[in-house]
Amino acid sequence: MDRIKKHWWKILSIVLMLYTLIVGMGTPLKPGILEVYPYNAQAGTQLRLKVKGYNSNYDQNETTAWLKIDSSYYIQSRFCASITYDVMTAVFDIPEYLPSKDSIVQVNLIVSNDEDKGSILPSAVFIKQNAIDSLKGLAPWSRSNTLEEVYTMEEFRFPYRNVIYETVRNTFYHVALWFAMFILLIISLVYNVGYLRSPSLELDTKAYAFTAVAILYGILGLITGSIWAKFAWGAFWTTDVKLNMTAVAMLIYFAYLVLRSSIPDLDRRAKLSAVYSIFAFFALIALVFIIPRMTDSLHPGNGGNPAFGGEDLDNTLRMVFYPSIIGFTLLGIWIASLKIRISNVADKLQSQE
Amino acid sequence: MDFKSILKKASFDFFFKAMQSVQSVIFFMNSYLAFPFRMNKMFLILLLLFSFESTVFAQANDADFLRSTGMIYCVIAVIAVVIIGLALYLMRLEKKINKLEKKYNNG
Repeated sequence: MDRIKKHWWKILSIVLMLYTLIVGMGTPLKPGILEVYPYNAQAGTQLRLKVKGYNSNYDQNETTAWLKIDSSYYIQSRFCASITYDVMTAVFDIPEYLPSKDSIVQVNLIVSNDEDKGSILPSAVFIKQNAIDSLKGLAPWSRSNTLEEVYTMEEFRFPYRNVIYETVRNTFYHVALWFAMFILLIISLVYNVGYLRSPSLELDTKAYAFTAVAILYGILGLITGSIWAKFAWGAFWTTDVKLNMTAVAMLIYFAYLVLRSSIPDLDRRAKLSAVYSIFAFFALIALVFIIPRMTDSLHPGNGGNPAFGGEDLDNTLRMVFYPSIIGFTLLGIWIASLKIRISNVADKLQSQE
Repeated sequence: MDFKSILKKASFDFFFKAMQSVQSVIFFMNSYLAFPFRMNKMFLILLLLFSFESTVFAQANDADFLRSTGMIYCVIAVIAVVIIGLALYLMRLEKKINKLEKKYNNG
């Protein structure tokens, strides 16, 4: 029992990591629309749209589809016929005039049935109209801001997002790694400030161990992010401002390691590295949190947008994301504590000689 | 072709390519072992890691394959990198402990 009392947080970290792996990988995505064919249509003709769904059940349910313009005008499909459980044909009678002043209008596709509930594909079809008359175009299109028949699914499933699909799960393994890195760096910041207030080599050892694990997490975060970027954005490294700024911040922390190893005198090393890492921490905040918000960024929650939320982090993702952060942080504290104990033993052996 | 058969084919493809890469690693090792070259554990692990990554990204060219499985292999590669990275770091710590043990036993 004493063991459990002493090591409960290590057990908790393992349990949380297992929870992250099992629930994070085992929960299916909500149904979505992968792609449609054809992409182009002519106003005033009949459109037979072939729809390929993802995790959908078209064959066992009566499915309805809508074409929607500008999030307020829509027409309902004449009928939908399922081919397999994830492929169906939706037939639309497109009116001659569209409620728009453009000759080519992009239209969203909404598909709904009782089991899958609603799913949407933005800019699914481009409709061309020969003559433009937006007043005549109003009549055949129904007008509503929300489709009353369409609900979002309430089951515990992760949101389906176009372009990233299943990789939305990387939120638990890539994004959580960065959050854990920040928590570890804040712990080491506390030790560094503590060292400057009352210098003792013990505090310096602790600060160094936490920073080292944080740097490990940073490197892993860069590699995992690079893999995700290859799949989602098409290249291992892009000119995204957050990527480059994070790389700069990591270089600043590499310099911390070099600085430490280049000073043989223990007290001088401790004092210098404490001061340096406090500066490095605030440089990191400026580089990772402030600069990416000032320009455009591919990362969600950047480029002026105030928060990482909405569809990028909905409540189902949060159920796994927060435990994942805690799990990674506790694991990092565990590794750091091992590091601290090793260097304490090494110091003792050195002083005995 | 429905989703399940695509998945079956995909997993078979993946297994096949993984086996191929293991074979190529063995071939690589054989061709290098002839030289007076000391292969340590790290090198072997890096080699295996590299071969694993190449199998994962060999699939990246095949857009249809990725679409059919919703890019789940990206998530698997990310998890693999995290676990391997943590394991390598722990191995480094273990090396330090080994050094200390040696020091303690000798002194």
